[in-house]
Amino acid sequence: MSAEQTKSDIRTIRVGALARVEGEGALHLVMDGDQVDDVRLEIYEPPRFYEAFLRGRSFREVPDITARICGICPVAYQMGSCHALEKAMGVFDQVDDSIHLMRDYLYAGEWIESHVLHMFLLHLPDFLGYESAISMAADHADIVQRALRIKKLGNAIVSSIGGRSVHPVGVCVGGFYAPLDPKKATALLPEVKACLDDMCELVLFVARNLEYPDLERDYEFLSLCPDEGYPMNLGRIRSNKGLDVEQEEFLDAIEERHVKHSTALHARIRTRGSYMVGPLARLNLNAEKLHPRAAELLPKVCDALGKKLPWTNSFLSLPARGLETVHALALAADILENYERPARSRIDITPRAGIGGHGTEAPRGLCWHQYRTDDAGMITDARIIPPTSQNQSTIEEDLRLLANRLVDTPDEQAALQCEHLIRNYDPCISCSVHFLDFNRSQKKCRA
Amino acid sequence: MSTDILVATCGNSMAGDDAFGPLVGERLRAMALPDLRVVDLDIKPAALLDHLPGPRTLILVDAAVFPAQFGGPLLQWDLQRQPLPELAHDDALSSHGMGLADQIELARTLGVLPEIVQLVAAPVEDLTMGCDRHPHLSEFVQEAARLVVQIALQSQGEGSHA
Repeated sequence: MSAEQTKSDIRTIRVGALARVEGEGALHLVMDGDQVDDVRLEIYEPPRFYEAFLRGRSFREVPDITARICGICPVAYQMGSCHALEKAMGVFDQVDDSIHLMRDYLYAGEWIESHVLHMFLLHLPDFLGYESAISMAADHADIVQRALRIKKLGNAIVSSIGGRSVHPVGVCVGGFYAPLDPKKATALLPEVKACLDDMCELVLFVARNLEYPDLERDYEFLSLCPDEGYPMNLGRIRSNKGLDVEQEEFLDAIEERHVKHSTALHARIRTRGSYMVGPLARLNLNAEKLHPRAAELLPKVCDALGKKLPWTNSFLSLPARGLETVHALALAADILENYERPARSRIDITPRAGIGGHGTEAPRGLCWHQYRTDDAGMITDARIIPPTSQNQSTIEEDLRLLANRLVDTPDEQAALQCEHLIRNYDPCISCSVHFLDFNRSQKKCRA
Repeated sequence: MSTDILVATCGNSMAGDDAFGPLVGERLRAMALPDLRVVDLDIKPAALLDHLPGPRTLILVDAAVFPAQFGGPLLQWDLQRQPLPELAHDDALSSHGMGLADQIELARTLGVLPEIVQLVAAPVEDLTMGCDRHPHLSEFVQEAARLVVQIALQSQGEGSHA
């Protein structure tokens, strides 16, 4: 072996503040020649202690407090807390079907807004080779404007029953403070139908016109799997590798552990390891439950991609989000079309001591809550497991696989590809407890 | 006042001095000005584009971390004529890396930015979640509300002469 061959190239890729994600995080990647030495998705956003300061508060305050965890997915926190607390109060089975329907309607609004924001303003620039949505908009104004219209509709749906789109105030444990006004339902329906038609076209656009990097992996996908309908608020928790538990058994199935480089806990399935939550997991596990409008689109998308389900490439989260957006729009249209003012918008609840655990499907994946209450309904213990913390280990494993293919890739391009991969997961770091500046040092050592 | 004046406030009312924007919004609503619409973007500046195109005048109200200037005058920028201040590009303070500055630039690129765009900002000290607001913040709020009304009246005057 020559002297040159005995040297190793230690290459450190560091992106100190990830862009186009929610929250503060960084990427640290160390390569020794063609070997990946270390991969860390560093989450340095300070812990926010929501679980601690919920203690001593009335159960009725929890949906409004937890909504403040995130400006993008407040509904997810409201839905998780409401369902879990209804279990703790012993009224979970008494919630009217009309209330469940309104919860799906509200959640559909959040999925639409969050998915479209991520797909077209944050993720699409990666695929089309732009630095940002702003530079992309100069060349693709039509796409951006159509997306903004749909995103606006998502916010309007949330506002129509939540009172406002940021941190809605219409949700309470037991239902809603007031039902949806039928006049609002009638007024919104034409726009929902128009956006549904347009979203179908946009999904085909992204399926037919983008190049998706090939990064296949044998993931364990995990999501809610209800007996009926695509997962959103209800259902058992299942995976493609045999996990099948009731909501209350989730903590027995997974474990959270602290790692030095993250203020968010890493979750793993106890007997196996990392897993993926989010649109790709939901779609792979529940495709047959999509709304007919999304179901009829699925084979066309599969043909365009040249991939049948299950999709085992995290880059395909983009078309998965698109199909879910079509599903959410179609669901909202159905609910509005058949809407009648319900007899009541919430059920009565008498406080009691209890414990309840429940997860719902946030845009980024399963968001699971557990609360314990005392006789007066005051919170004595709270636990929240957000989707991004569940995906962290999987993101690091993806990065390790990708890094192996970046040995000969220039620094700047390598960093961009890593960031692109991270954005496949639409990480919400503020929820998990934010993200990449880039610098790399390359040196010869160990002669 | 013309009905096509939109005031968009930004900020987190639970994060110390970041409550500046929402407090100015509250005060403007209390003044019940008939032709001035106030929307709270809260911590979601990406929602600004939900309201564009439409208004002829857009007045943005936000807090700016500028401890060295705290107690000094309110900050005001004409965003149609002046480049955005550097501090407005801090992605770490924005949701999904799409801050207010990005929204303005995206609106400009798409050609939906209103004819008149003014930013009114208070130089503040502390945006920590849960921390107390600075005692002087209420004075800034009163002053900012007056300035917003003044800009609105002035823009209406400019419109009538157009």
